[in-house]
Amino acid sequence: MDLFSNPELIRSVRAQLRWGRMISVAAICAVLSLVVGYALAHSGPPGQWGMQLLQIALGTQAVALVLGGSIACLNAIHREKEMNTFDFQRVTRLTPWELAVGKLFGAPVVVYFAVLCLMPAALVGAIVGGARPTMVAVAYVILLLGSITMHSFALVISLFHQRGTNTAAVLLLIILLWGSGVGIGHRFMFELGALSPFASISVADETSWLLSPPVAKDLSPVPDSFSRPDVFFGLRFHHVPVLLVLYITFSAWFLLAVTRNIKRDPSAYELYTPQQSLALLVFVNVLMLGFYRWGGSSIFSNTPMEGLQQQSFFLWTNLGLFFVLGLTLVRNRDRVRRRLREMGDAASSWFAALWPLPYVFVGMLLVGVAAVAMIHGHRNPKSEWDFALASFRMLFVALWLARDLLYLQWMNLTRVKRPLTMGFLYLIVFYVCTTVAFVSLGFYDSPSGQAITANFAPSAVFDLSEKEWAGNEMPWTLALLSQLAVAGIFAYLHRQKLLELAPSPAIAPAAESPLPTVV
Amino acid sequence: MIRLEDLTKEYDVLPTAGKPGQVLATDRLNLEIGEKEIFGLVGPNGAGKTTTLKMVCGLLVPTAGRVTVNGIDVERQPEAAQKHIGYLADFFALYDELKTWEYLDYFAHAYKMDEAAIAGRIDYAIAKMGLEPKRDSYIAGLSRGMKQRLGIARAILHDPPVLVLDEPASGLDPKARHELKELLRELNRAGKTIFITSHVLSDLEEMCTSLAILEKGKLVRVGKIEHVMRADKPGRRVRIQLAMASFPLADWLGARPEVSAVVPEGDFTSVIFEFAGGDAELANVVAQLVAAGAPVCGVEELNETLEQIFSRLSTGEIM
Repeated sequence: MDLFSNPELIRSVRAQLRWGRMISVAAICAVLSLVVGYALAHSGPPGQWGMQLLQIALGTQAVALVLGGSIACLNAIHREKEMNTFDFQRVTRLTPWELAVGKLFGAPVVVYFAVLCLMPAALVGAIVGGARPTMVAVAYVILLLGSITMHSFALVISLFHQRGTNTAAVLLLIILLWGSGVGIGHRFMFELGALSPFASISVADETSWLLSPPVAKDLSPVPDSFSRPDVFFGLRFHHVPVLLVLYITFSAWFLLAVTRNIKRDPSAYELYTPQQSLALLVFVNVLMLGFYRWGGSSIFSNTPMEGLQQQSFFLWTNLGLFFVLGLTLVRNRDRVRRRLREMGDAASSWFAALWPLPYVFVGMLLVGVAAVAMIHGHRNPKSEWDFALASFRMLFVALWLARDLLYLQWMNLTRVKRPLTMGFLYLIVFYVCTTVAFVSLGFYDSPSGQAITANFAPSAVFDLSEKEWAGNEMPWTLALLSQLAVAGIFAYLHRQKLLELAPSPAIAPAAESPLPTVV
Repeated sequence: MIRLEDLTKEYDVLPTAGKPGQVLATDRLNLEIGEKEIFGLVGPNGAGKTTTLKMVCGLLVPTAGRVTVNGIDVERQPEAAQKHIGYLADFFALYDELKTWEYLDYFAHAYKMDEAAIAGRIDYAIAKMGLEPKRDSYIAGLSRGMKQRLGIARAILHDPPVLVLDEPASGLDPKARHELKELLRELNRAGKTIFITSHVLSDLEEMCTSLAILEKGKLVRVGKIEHVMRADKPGRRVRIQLAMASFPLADWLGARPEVSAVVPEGDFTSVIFEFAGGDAELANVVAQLVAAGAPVCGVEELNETLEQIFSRLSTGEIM
């Protein structure tokens, strides 16, 4: 089934693009284009106002497509669920892919129409301004693919969106938009240009594809420019192909999450399989390590980063990423019950009680080792670096993560309203309270005090340097063991929950099913 | 055609005083619905009817057990099974911005019907549900009953061999309800298997070939309609009406061994009782009664309605 005969897309076109609405949108766009064009035409020479008109038109299109389209996609599935129309779509013969693509392009169809209506203004601007046709075409390709990536992400949120979580959904979208915009203007941590589709606005002005020659390593954040190459494991690439490859790969990841869940029972939703989740995090880590500016300074100072500081960056980032991975892997009561019925005692074994550690812990160690190896090879020889300490820090963070995820897995099996959300909130309250208490008691003022705090709120491990390690090996080792002990306690509690959920004799599958009274 | 094997759905609600939080919406249901049956599923609110229907359609994953439709495992091959199912939910909305024919056209394409057959099937479904005057109307402007008809039109559009209908008569006026019954009978005659729930038990009694009563996730009765209607009855219930209260009818009947549960009515001119014999024995009793001088002016056998059976069997307890 090709895109233009996709029933879901056709439904959206019929519902959203009635003649009345189309005429209104076209009229508004035409009036805007004429007013802006007329005003600019009287403000300077044609070459100048033409480029200005192109930039304004492209900027308006980008705002409409990225923001408007994302909001439309954010409602695409969620609203159908609220209206009770989604089940009817689920029982049709549309494949998950057809349904997802239909929604991806169908939900923002009015926005696409508005973008088309603004095209004449953009083209007039490009012709009058003498813009390079290839650059204009590339700007639109970036805008389109970048928007599709955002829309795919919005669809993922829409699918997993529960009632009462509107604010969280919008926040997630804003975070992605902000995240993709970081780096517009300057490059900080990565030798990679801005990922935002809004970058397309400046691309249209460019006149040359030539890359600037390699320069000596610059410590400070450097101004980003179209000619500055992206550097991936030492190889120089033009930013445009890198951007397009990243858009395509991330869109694929997001659409994979949508297609594997869109026709499922919501209680059986699973963002990715554990293997796919791990592959995604490895992919993200390869990108981070590949594009990392090894000679760069930190965001906050112009001094070169120490090896342990660089490791802290990777540890923090992966702590966040693997925490999200863990949240997607934790099992709810429904899934646990099905596993218990399908697998019997194996689903409540001690190994089962360690879920989701097999993937999270191994993954965290895997990417941690890769980061340590890369830092070891690329660090400034004069910077602070201790291989053993770096390995200790990596293990510590992995155990910390294991402890918290086992806690959340246990919480998710308790019978409260939104157990995972509650567990997450308790965790935040715990960290805020312990941190406030330790700060007010002055524990963070001494290296030995920091080691004590690490038993409860292990964030001090990110600042653990050779100086603080020396003489405090014992309290830090005890703190490491305490993570292990607490993880063990939560594994025990988790197992108790598994045993509690195991089918009771009253509802266990009988050898011979009792038949109802057949008369 | 539809087979439920040990079908169990367990879910959680928040525990309240005296009630556990874990609920078995369906508890090891075993059911076989044959081809060309109209199978009614009745039960109080929360008995697990909608959950059962949703599992049949592959919209909910069972905690245990399995459902097959036309021999296809619904959980393992949902799309293959859904090809054979037309589904109507109890509470639903339609796409208000679409016209009636556009709505059906969307689903015809979503069901991947043969392109050449789509226009004809849309015309058929619109005509069958009496929606011709509303063909080009926006759905937003349709009445509740019309929307219900359109929902049914969607369910029958792709000519599925199995129809799963959850409260299809809800929101329909008496005339439309009668037409719906006729339509379902017609579809059944044309070879469709229909799995239906309804709170209008008299409708089910009239049209179902088989029936099941579901109570707190368990089947308490299942079978052919005539068997369900007669099940557990200790005898026939009979009413005898006298022209005047000049004969001790209740005492006379109470003395007979085949008669039990004698209940005089109103002004003692009529009596209801349970009779353990057949037609010939009943005729004999009536003849003896007349011979004894009773001014008999009417004899009537009372059949329990489905509603009465349901009230007798169901505790009405909501889970």
